Amino acid sequence: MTEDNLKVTELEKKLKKRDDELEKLRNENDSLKRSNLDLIEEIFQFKGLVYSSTSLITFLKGPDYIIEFANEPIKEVWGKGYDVEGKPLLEVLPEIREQGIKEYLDQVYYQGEPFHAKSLPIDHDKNGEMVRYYFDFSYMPQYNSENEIIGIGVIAQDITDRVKAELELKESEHRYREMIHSSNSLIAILRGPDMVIEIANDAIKEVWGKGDDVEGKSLFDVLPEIIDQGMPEIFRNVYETGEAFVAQESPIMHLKDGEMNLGYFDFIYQALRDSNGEIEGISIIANEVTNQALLNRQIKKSEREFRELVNFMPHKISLANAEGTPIYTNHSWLDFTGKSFEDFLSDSYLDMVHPDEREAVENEVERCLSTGDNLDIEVRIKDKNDNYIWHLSKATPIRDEEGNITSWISSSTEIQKLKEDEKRQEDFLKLVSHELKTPVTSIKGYVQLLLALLPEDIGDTEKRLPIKPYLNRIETQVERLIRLLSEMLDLSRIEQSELELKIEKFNLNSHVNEILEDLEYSNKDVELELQQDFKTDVYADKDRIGQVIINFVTNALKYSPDSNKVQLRIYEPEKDYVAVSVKDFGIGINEKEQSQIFKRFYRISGNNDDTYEGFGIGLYLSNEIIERHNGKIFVKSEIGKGSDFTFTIPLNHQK
Amino acid sequence: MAKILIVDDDQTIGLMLKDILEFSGHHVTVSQQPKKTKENIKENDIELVLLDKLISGVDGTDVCRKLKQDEEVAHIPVLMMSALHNVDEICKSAGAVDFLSKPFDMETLIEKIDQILENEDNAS
Repeated sequence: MTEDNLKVTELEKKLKKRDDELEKLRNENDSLKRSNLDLIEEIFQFKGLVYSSTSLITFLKGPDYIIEFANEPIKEVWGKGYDVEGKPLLEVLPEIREQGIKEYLDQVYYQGEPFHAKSLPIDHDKNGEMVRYYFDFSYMPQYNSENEIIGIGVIAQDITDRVKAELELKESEHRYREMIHSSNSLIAILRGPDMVIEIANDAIKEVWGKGDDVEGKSLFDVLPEIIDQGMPEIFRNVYETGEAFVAQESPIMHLKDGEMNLGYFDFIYQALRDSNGEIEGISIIANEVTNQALLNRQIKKSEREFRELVNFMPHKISLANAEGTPIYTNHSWLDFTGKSFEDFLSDSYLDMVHPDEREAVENEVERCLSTGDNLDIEVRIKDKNDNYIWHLSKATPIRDEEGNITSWISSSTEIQKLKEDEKRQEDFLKLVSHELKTPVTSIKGYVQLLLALLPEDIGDTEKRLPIKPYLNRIETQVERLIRLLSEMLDLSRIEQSELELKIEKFNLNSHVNEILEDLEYSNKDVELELQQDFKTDVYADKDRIGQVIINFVTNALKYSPDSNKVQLRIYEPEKDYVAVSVKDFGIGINEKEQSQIFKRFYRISGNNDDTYEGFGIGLYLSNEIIERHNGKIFVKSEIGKGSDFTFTIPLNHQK
Repeated sequence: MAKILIVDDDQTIGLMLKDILEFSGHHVTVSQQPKKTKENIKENDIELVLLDKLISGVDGTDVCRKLKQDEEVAHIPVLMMSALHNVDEICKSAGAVDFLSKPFDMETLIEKIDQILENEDNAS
């Protein structure tokens, strides 16, 4: 029994021991199970962290850097799809081969040192297009339980957006600085109440003349010379009140190479504010306008000189706008009229004009204003004592580059004395011709009486004493003298507007015929042909019209030294008008002279500067006479071939 | 054949006119005193007066007008003459029967005088 008991006891002991061992194992198993569960939980937690992280995470295994694990963010950056696990990194991202990434990985893998980088640019191939990314990242060696490196853990941050924004900001600041520096304007930025120069561009440094090294110094230390020019007060005011200070053509002295230089500037000083609206500095933007300012001063000086000049002149000068309204006048006008400058400009100039000329002046001024023609009139203007004084008034338009009239300058010159002299001269002329007529009358009378007394036949006496032909010659010359005297008188009448027409009705054809008969009588050798295409009565001054025809014919004969033929024609140029033309075959008149011959005292000179008799007023008179009939006078002529003088008058000029 | 009075302050003209008119058969008296025209007319039984417009400061038209206002001599025709221009109307309105512009043709003078005298004859 005992042996059996012993055996049982032994067995029981063994059993107990096994039970204990089993219990122990069970406990161990439990604890292992528990720690296993903990581990799994830990792994899950860790994986969750990795998966949910916005960081880019991957585990690379072995020397070929097989992607064991990569989270979604890193797969997105790679852009090579989601099925990359199990593939070598460099196969998935062949583009990084050239970017030195493998070298970093190798370094970590073989030397076991972690590698950290900041803002590392890496280009990723996105569908054939290389896109630049910036990363902060760490490569960390991964170890097994034997402490051997089995792979690399990569954890990275995609900071591309931030880096790009920074780059852009830098670039924009660079551009801004570049703009400031390359600007032709003078630009400086001052900071703080001490006006410390933060930025000053080359242009402003050049003007300051204090070298390149001015940034960081107070403006007033750099430019002590502006302290006495009132600048500190201006800057302080801008800084304290925030009100901008603007100046134009402001003179400022700068000390440059030991010399004070005067320059003129347009500038603006403006307060600079921070994001809270607090004033933190002042910006200076300026333009040097020295040349312009000097030019302006020169123009002003020149203008002042011309103004003085204009005021010094005895002539009356004024300036009007394009509509003729006066805007400036010189002292001479004010002295003459006794008006103030303002009154002179506001009063109507017509009120100063003599009533007799007022309407004509108004019409002529209106005409010139609308056509742009020069004004040139003789007019009586009232002085401060209400005396009307003769003036020669002229005005001419000033035009801009397009030819538009911008203003009118006018000058009036006193010609009272001239007018009086002229009147005296005319009066004298009148007197002279009148006085001369008296002896001429008696010479003519006696010549005619003698001719009448002379018997028809004086026989042989005629040969020894040619009384009759000589008397005839005297008579012709007396007639000529009378004609000259009449012309002289007519001239003075025209000048004094005394040439009045005596209008009567007469037959023009008969009148022309009579005149031609008389002319033929006194010019025996001439051949006067008359072509009458039109027969008419006219209302006109018979004697004056005759005078014009006689003038035309005598001119035609006078200027035809080699021809004695003159052709006259009466025709109807248009309804209610009649024309008389006188054509000769003489020396002719060149084009330049054709426009001159109707002027007073103009005489045509022959080829050899021959002179022809007469005062040269016949055509001038003819022109006046025809104009007073509301007719026209004109000439067609060719040198060496002859001239054709024509006048046309209305059949009834009073209608 | 008529008795004619010439009133002109210019002696040469007066004499010239006298010579011409006497040549054509008239009897002529020459006077340089316009104020004595009426006396001259009456004294010499004048039938026509040839009167200058301007006689040493005296206006011939005034002389003419006075004659025309004077019943005794108003019927005597007055022919006025002048070297001035455009005065024929003034002279005619002063009562002159016609006007002669200096200088004139002898023929014109004689014609005018003959015509005036003829009209006078017809009227009387």
